[in-house]
Amino acid sequence: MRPKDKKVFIIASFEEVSILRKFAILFLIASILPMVLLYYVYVKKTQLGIIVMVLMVLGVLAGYFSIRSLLIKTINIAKENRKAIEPFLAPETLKELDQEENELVVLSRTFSSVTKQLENNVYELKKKNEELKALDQLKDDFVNTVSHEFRLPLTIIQESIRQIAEGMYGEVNEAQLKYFNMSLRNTDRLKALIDNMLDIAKIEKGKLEILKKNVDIVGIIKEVGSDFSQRIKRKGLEIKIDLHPQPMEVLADKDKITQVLINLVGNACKFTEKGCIEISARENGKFIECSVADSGIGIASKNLPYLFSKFHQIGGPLKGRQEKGTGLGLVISKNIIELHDGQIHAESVEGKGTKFTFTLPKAPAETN
Amino acid sequence: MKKILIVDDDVDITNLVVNRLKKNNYNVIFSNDGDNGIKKALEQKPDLIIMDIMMPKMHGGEAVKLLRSYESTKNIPIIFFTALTTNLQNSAELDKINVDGQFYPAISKPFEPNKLLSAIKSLLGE
Repeated sequence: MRPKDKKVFIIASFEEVSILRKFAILFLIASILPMVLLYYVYVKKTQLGIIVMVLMVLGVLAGYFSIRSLLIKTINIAKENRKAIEPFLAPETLKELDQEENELVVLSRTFSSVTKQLENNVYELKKKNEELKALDQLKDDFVNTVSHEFRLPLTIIQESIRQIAEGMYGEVNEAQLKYFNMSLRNTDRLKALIDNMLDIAKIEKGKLEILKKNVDIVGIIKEVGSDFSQRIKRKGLEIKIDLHPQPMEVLADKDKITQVLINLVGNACKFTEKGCIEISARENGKFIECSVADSGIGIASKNLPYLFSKFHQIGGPLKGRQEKGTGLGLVISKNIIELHDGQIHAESVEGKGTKFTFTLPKAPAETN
Repeated sequence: MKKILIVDDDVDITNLVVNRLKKNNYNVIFSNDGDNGIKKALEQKPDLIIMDIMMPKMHGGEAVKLLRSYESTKNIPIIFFTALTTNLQNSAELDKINVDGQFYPAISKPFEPNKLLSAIKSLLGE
């Protein structure tokens, strides 16, 4: 039997069974009466009477059994179907089904109560959804307000120190200048931290915007490289910049790509104690492939898959961590590169060094 | 000497920007709320206005709309100066803010003095 037919039986079976049952009993009673009559009139007297009698008994029995087999079949199907729908029905409904003759009534009652329940659930879900939306908005507002409230005092601290360090309020000696500059480096760090938090909030909302233009990646790398060269040299490291002599144009947001490079070179600088940091760019089909390689502490292969996850800095947030950072830089970098339809990945050998490579689509050729 | 009006509710920030601009040979006046800022702009006709956004009495955007409604102040160049970065439209040169469909240059706080000074110079045509 095809499943479709079964479905029909779920509803029809019980009624049919009860009709058939009544019919079978009626059939038996109706057949027994003329048989008893025949017995008294003929059977005792003639041989033909006996034959007719036996044939009639056989006929009645055959009729009874055929109805019975039909009945059993139907009952079995009904049972099977009952078993199939049982898990979906409430205990009260099952009880009702057992008591009530007409299961159609019970089922329609059940359906309407289930529908009501569903409507209630949909309403509850809608309400929950609205609540979550409001909560999300609150979180956004909170992030924005907090960042605003952090920025104001930071502006005052940074600008005050900068003005003093510039000598606007009198001469500054070398030792003072050293500490003012140290303070300024750290206000910059705070600012970067707030910006990162905002970037992450934007990424989560899918609102990080990029403005793609044709830009020269060689130029960007050179700028970032020269910004870092002092810091790298101060640490006793070597910096190698391996570039094509000609400009290489990519379709990208200059500020955002600069942010990625600063992050990668900054990381390389942080986690490298000796050796060199190498930045390079080369063509690879429709893409320009840039990489930042270091000879630093490297990353254990078991940690590599988590590298681009939020708040992940190897070693955990507290224990044994010597280098500072939010652990958001790589998440942001990955999102920025992916918004450019590029890819970023890392290769690393623990104790030997790490190499980050990202790709950016080449700028479309000039049409004129 | 060009006259610049700073409208910012934060006294400390105002003070620092005033010093920075005076050092760069500008005549600087200031106000710590939007309402008063508009009055000063009407009275003293500055060559440029630096406008904060989040201010308690009057929002910087509102103040700018009002300034644009007066004949004597409607052509004064304006730079927004804000720590509220969510409304900023980043661009390669200078961030911008949209007020009633018109774009104004914006400097975000904490600010780079050079960025602020070059924005002022370009708006004053110096």
